[in-house]
Amino acid sequence: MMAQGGPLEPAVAPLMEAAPIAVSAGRNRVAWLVSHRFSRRWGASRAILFGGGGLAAMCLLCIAVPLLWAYKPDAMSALALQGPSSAHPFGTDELGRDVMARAFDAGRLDISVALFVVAVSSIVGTAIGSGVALTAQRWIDPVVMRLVDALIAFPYLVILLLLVTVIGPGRHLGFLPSGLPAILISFVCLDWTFYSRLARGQAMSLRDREYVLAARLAGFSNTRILVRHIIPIVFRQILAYAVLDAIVTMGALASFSFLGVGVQPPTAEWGNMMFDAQSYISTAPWMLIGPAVLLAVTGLSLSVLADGLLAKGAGDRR
Amino acid sequence: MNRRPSVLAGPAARDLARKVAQAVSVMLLVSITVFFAMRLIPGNPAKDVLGNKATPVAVAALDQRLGLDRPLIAQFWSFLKGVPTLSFGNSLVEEGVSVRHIIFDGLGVTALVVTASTAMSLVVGVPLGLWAALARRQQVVSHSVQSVAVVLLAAPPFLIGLLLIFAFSVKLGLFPVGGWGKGLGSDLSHLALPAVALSGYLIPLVIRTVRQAALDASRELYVEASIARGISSRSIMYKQILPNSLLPLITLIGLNVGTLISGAIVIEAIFALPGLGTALYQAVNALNYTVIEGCAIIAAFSVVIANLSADALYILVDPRVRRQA
Amino acid sequence: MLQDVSFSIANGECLALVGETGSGKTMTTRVITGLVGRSGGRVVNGSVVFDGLSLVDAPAATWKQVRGRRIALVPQSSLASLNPVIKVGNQLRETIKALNPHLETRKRSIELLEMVRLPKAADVMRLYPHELSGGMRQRVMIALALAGDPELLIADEATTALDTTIQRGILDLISELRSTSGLAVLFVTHDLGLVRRFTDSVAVMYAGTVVESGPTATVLEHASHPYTRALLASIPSVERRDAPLLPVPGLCPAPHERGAGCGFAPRCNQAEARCHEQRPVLEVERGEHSVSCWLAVTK
Repeated sequence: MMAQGGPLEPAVAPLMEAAPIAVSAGRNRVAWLVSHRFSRRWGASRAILFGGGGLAAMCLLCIAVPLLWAYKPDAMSALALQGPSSAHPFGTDELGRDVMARAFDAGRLDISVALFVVAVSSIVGTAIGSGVALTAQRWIDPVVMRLVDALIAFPYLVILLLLVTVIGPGRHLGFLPSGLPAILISFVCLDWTFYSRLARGQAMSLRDREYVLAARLAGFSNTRILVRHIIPIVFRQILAYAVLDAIVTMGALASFSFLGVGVQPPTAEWGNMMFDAQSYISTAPWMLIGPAVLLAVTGLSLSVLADGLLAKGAGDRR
Repeated sequence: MNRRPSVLAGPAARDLARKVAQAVSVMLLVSITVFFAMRLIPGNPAKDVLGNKATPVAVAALDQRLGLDRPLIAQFWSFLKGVPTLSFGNSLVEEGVSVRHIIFDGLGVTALVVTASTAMSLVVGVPLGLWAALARRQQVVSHSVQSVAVVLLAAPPFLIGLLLIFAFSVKLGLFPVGGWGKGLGSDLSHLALPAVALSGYLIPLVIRTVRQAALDASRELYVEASIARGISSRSIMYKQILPNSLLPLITLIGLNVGTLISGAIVIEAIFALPGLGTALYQAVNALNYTVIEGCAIIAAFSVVIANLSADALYILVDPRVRRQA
Repeated sequence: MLQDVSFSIANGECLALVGETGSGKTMTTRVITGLVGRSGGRVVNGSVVFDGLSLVDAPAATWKQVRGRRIALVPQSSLASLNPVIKVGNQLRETIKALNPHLETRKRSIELLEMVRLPKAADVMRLYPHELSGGMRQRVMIALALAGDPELLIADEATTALDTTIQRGILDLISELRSTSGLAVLFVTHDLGLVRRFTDSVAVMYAGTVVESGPTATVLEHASHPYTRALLASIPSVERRDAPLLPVPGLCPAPHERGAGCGFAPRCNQAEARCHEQRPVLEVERGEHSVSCWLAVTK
C-alpha cells in the first residue's frame, strides 16, 4: 500500500532568500524591500489584519462614497476650484466636480484593475512556471525562461508602451472605459513573467519530493499532479508577492494614465486626476492631494499586508 | 613562486566573454521584437500620419517613401542594418528630423537624471544603511530607518515627484517647476527635484542592501579576529566592512537600471524634461512609429549594456571572483 | 554558559585548558578577550584580572591597551580569521600599524614572519590567505598575535586542524617563544597528548565548569576527577596497545540541559545521590591540585 501524500504543509524552498538582489530585476523592486518591519514589531497576523483591513476599508469606501455621497463623481457644477469645505471635503476641481467622490470613484477603477491584472497574471504565470518546471520535455525550460528573462530585463514601462501602441491606446471595449483594454492586455502580457520565474523555482524544489514521485509512480499524469499538488502550494507562497505586485501595477496604471496612454479622461482615475491637477497646482492644490493620499494609503495597506504574508510564509516554513 | 596569471586569461575572462555574447544576442532579440511589434500594429502607419482625409495616392506615396511597400524581409534587413548606427529613419511627425537626432537630444537629459538620482541614492543610502547596521542602539535606529523605507516604497515615483513639486516649487519657490535650463547652473536646479523624486525609489533598496551586507561583514570571523588583535573599530569599518558593503551595490544598480529608466519616463512627464521618456510617450500618443522604434531600442540597449557593465565591474573588483581558479 | 570557572596563569607559565567540544573553552577565551558581548553574552558574576587590571565590563580605553598589546589571541580557524581579499602582508602591516604606529611596518612584518619560521617571508607577504597551506597560515596567525609583543598568548585549538608533524612544529615554536620572551600561554585544546608534553599546568573543563586543575604532571599522574580519569583512559597509547579503548559514554550536555548537580553526574559511573543534587565546589590554590568532585573531597 503506497503511503498517502506528503506532509500537509511541505516546506518549500525559501523564496530566494539568500540572494535577494540577484533575483529582482526591473519591477520587482518592491518585493525585496518589505523587510518585515511591521510584522516584526507587531506580528505577522496583525500585519495581515491591518493591511487587509485597510485594503478592505478602502474598497468599501470606493464603492460606497460615489454611491452615497451627496455629490456624484461626474456631476459638474459652477463651484469650480473651491477649497476643502464641509460640503466638499477634498474641494472641487476645474469643472466643479467633487474631488472626494471622484477620487473614490477612481479608486474603484484603479484597485479593481490592479487586482484583476495581478490575479490573472499570477494564475497564468504560476501555471506556466510550474508547468515548465515539471515538464518532461527538457527543451521547454530554457526556451521559456530565456524569453522570460529577456522580458524582465527590459525597462517595463518601455515594453508596456510598446504593447499599448500595438494594441491601440484609444480603443475601448464594451463597458470598459476607453484605453482600458490596451492596458489590461499589455499589463497581463508582461506581468505573468514575474510569477513564472518564482513559480518555477518553487515547483522545482517541490518536484523531487517523495509524494510527487509517489504520485507519478501511481500513474497520475503530470497535469493532475500539477494542478492538485504543486500549484496550490506554490500559489500560497506567491500570494505575498502578488500583493506587492498589485502596488506596482497600480502605480504603473496611474503613471500610464498620467502620460496619456492609459485610461482616457473623463474617466476618473488617479493618474488622470493628478495630471489635471498639475495645471492647477498653485491655485488648487487639493486636486492633487485627494487622489495622492488615497493612492498612498492603498499602497501602504497593500505593503503592510504583503509584509504580513511574507512573514507568515517564513514562519510556516520553519 | 609563480607570477599570478593576469585577469584576462583566467576563467573570469571566459565568463565575461560569455556574458558579452549573451548581451549581443539579447540586443538582437530586442531589435527583432521591436521591429515585428511595430509591423503588427493594425492599420496603416502612413494613413495614421496623414489623417483620415488622406487620398489613397498620398498614402501610397508616403508608403513608398517610408519603404513600407517593400517585402517584409527587405524591410527587416534595412532596419537591422540601421540598428548599430542608430539610424531609424526620420520622424513621421516632424518633417526632416531624423530619429537619431531626437534620440541623442533626449539621451543626454535622461542619462543625467538617471545618473543624478543614482548618485543621490548612494550618497544618502549608504551612510543610512551603515548606520542602521552598526548603530549602538541598533534596534531603534534600524527599525525607524526601515519604517521610513517601507513608507517611501508605497508611493510610486511620480507621486513623490508631484508632491515635491507642490512643496518645493509652488509653495517654497526653491526650484523651477519644470522644463530644462540653459547652461550648467540652470540645468542643475532643474535637475534637482526630478533626481530626488526618482531616487525615492532607489534609496530604500540601497539602504537595505548596504545594511544587510554590513551586518554580514561585521559578523565575519575575520572581523572579530581583527578586533582581538587590537585594530581600531574605525579602521575595521573603513577597510573591511565598507568595501564589502559596497560590492553588492554594483549588482543592485545594474539590475535596477531598467526600472530607473521606466521611472525616468514618468518623472520627465511630470517635470516636463526634454528627455527620451518624453520623446517616447509623445511618440506613442502621436503614433510616430519610427521614433517609438528608436526609443524602445535605445532604452532596451541601455539596460543590457548597464547590466553587462555591472557584471564586468563586479568581476574586476572582487578578487575572490577573479581568482576562481 | 560558564559556571565556576577559576584558574590563574603566572608569568611565563603555560596553562592548558582541556575539554570536549561544548565544554566552554572557547567561551572562556572570549570572556578573557572581551569578545563575549559581540554575540550577546555577558559576564554575570565574577572577575577577570590581568596584572591588576579588571577586564570584566572594562571600558574601551582599557581594551585598546590590552588587546593585541598585552593579550593576544590565536583563533581557532586561521582561514576564517583572515580577510580573504587582503594580502597577508597587508594584514600583518595593518596590525603592526595599529599596535605600534611608529614602527616601519614592512620591516617588522618580515621580522615577525621570520620569528615564526616562515621561509621566504617577503614572498609570503604577497600572498592571499587561501594561497597558503594550513600550517603556514597558522604561523601567520601566530605572527599576527606576536605583533604587539604580548604578555599572554591565548591559543584556541591552534593546532587542531593540522597534521601531527606540523602540530609539533607549531608547538615547538610556541615553546621556543616562551623561553625567549617569557610569554605566558593559555593553550586551549582537547588533545591530552599534547598537554603532557608542552604545558606547565592544566585545567580540565566539562559542561562549563572547571572540574580539575593543577600542575600538569600531578593532574595527569594522579587524576582525581572521574572525567579526567576517563579522558586519560581513552587516549590510545603505545604502552597499552592491546588494551581496549574506553570512550566516555554519552555526550557533553548543552547549557539548557544541565541539571542541578554536578555536570558530569549523568555520565559518571561513580556518581552518588549527592552528585546529582548538589554542585561540588572547586577550590583552587596556586600550584596545587584541585578537584571539583564530592568523591574526591571525601578522601
